[in-house]
Amino acid sequence: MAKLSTTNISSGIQQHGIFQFSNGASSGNYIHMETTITQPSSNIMMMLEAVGYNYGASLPVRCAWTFYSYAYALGGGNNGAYTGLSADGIYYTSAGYVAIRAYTSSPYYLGFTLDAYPAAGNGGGTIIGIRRVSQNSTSGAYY
Amino acid sequence: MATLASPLQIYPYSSWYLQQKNIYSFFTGSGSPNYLHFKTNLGAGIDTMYMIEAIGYNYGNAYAIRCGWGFQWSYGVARNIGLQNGYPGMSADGVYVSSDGYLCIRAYASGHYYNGFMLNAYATRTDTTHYAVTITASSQNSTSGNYY
Repeated sequence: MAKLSTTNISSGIQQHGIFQFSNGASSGNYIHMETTITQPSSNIMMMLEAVGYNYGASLPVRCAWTFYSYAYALGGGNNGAYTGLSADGIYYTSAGYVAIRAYTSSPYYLGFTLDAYPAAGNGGGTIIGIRRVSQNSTSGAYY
Repeated sequence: MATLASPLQIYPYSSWYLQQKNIYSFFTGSGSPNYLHFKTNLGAGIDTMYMIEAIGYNYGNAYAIRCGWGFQWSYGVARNIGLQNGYPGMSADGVYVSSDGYLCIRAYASGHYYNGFMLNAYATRTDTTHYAVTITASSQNSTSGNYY
């Protein structure tokens, strides 16, 4: 049995368990996560995926954000067949980083981990982390 | 190349891991019966939340498999069960309690001819104690309700 912390496969092309979120709060439908990816000078293509379970919504979680940080180019969210959480948006923070925003109508006991796949080309293997996280009611840019 | 022994446990949290990959591998060459039952080691006396996910390939119906069972398992009762299917090779069909008090999951496909997949488990609640999930028994049969 292999027991690992954050796991990087193929020099960081797959990064599993870069962050975890767990909260019993029933209010604050948006979760903002500020990444360590800077903008606009960085040149990184990234897919971030949340996987977990939303007790309040009684649904599994699997949704993804894709973005390209170069020259203020951004991407969007991809919500698969698991609808416990939605990839709601991506924005640049006032501190100069890329942030992702998730949404659920029922956040009570929402829990997930984040995986990262910088596999699209530019910036392949860039190690990513989450600098700050906040659950609140802001549907736009929070950071 | 790094070859890691299963299950692959990622992201330690307290005494357990948040991602538990390949906790079980299943394969069948039998196209029928249509239901698959998996009995876990989650028994009475624990309060947890998990998402268990199957990932694989069903040759018989020529589809990929990704389906998930989300649930709270609280002292012998399964609550807030969510069943969803990402790819149509197999469906997350149900969650129930075995006659001896363990949590079971049930999958369905219209055919299982050369169906193979692995199960991953994701612990999602960090204010309680989770465990390493294992599958203690599995069966392919025609029972659409509780088998164990």
